[in-house]
Amino acid sequence: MTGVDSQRLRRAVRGLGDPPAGAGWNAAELADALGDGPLRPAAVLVPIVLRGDELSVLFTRRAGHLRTHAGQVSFPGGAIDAGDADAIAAALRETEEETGILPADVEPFGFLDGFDTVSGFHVFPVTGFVRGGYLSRMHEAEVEEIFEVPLDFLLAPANLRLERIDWRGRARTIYAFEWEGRRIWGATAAMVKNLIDRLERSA
Amino acid sequence: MIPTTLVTATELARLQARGNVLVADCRFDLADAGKGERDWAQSHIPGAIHFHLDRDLSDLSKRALGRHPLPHDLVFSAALARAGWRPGFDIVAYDDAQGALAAARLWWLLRLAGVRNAAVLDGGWAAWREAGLPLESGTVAPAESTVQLSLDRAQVVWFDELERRRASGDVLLLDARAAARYRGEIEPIDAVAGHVPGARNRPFADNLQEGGRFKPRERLREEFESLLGGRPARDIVHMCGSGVTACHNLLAMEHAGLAGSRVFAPSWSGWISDPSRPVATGSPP
Repeated sequence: MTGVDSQRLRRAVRGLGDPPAGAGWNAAELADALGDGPLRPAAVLVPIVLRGDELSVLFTRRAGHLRTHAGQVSFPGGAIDAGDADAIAAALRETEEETGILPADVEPFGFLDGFDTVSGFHVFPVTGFVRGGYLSRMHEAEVEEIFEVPLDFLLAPANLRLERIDWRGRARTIYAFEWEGRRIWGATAAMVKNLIDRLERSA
Repeated sequence: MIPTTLVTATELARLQARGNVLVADCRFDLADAGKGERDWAQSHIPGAIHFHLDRDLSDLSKRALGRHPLPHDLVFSAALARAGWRPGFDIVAYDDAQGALAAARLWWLLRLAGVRNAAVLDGGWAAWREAGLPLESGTVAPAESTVQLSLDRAQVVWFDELERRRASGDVLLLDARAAARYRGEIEPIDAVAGHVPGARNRPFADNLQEGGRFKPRERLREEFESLLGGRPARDIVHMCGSGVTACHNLLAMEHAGLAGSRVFAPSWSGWISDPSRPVATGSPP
């Protein structure tokens, strides 16, 4: 898939007035891996950075005491707090807390489909355009690294890896990308895959 | 920050009193895959979570990568999340095989994931009991975390690198299996007996002194330096039957201050999965 621009992205996602409802698109995949308790609502920002015609996707690497690049690659986000007006507000708040990127530098433009995680969250992925000149305050941030991957790289079918594993009694497929020594996999990669699927369906 | 190789039982007890330490029970019996977990349920170090070699620390669905292929990131991360580990928590692993089965394996996987604040309990389960420290039985239900780690497979030696370096001679392959298995006189587990041509034998039991604790650092350093014969530590590639006890030699070297050796993860069982690969028997010349 090539030639994806911001207009095409706007067409591919759910509108701001149409947040995902019900179970995550991957719920069947997780049916036997989740407990009985209710899923906790969470929101992430899927940040698309705009620099002229160049689009890239921003990821964070949360490291803590980890010393190599092997740390967790994620989208900024977290649980939706009682104080958050909605998922969009939660995604923007978490983005600022984790990366220092100000809400003023982000234009939310839609949602991907809801996604359930093994760790018991139902995630509302908010898509947002991030101004190319965004400022991050890494020294105050909760993450070790912010990095961008060109959208074209993520959209090239050869770069999406399908890893098949047996886990908790049955075969599963895990999505993954490798970008310059960084590994993007699991929930984060699956949300990118959902974006790819929606782009293909809306072409 | 805890020691990054070995801790004693009393050090572990102190760490637990301080908090933010995950104790990982890695007991495993190759002849009875459920025994370690049963032993854990019966009695364990207070708060310890069981990590299962086959289920949590390996991916047995992979073929031709040896008997204990590396676990998928998801499986390894899920095991740590279930145990409530999160970045910043120290980890101490123990087993009832002096660290060889499979505490050192967990320690090594954590290093591949970038987690350095992890250590193996020197002397393991026996040392804890000999110290008269408290025990606990039954299940443990920690608050699960959402950690997601990736094992850096570039730190692992695979077939192509091993072949290349065997050809160029810039590798010293150290086999951690018992001498009789290395020589090919007995082979209780794998279909073919013997060793990779050129490999030297360093049974992991040689890292231990009487009583099952690791030898002092200086002694380990002398022994491995004599094996190295002036080569840098990074020339050493460890192997064993399936990439488990090899980690014990790696741990011993790191403990001795000889940093940078690596593990050929498929090891003997992976090597012989292709019958065209050469096999040697007997003692090296």
